[in-house]
Amino acid sequence: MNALMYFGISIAILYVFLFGYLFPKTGTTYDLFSLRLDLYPHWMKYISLVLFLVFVVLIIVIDEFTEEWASILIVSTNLCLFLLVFSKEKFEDEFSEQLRFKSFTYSFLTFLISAGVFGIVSLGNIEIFIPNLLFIQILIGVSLAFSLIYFYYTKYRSQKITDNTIK
Amino acid sequence: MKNRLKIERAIKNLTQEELSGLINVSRQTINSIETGRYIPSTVLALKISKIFEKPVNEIFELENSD
Repeated sequence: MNALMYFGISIAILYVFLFGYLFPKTGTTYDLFSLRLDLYPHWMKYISLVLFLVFVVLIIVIDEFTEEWASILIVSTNLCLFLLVFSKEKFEDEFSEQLRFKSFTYSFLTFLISAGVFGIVSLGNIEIFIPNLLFIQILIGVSLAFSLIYFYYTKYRSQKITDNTIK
Repeated sequence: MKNRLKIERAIKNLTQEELSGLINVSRQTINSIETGRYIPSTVLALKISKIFEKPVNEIFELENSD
């Protein structure tokens, strides 16, 4: 086994624990009104940012941009985005909850559209059509990034817009 | 939905920050309600009405478009 495989396995194990934490502990139900998502604590956002910086610095220092290092960067970026998306805000309330679920919906839509476009583009070209794992990782990363963009852009707009009708 | 939150706040001499602390939400939530960008849940509306000691329909009012 090479270093890349060890990296992949450790990331996979980490995801198992992360999903375990996130998974609703309200029993086996499909009733969305009963399901409660346990988000990661707010400090996870800082950890994910530090982690991302470490990976970027590592790649700059190594200065060897091969396909292997590109996959490490993509996988680690996805991990950081995942932690950013699924960790609580400093002040978690019904407003941020609604905003988060709306951003999930639109990022899922983004994922479906990008996957659909990829499917159409690759029609007739069986080599591209065979799912490329790295490409799927990029699609997931783009969807997570869109979720973050939708969320923070709306939050930013909510902060900027103030009521000027009442003096 | 229209609301008189900003006026009620001014009457009670409360800042957005103070009101958000009283009902345990972020200041952004209060700002979004005041600007009409966000419609609060019944629970939050009732908490607000309790603070201002007024019925919910005196603070929040339906519009024709609702």
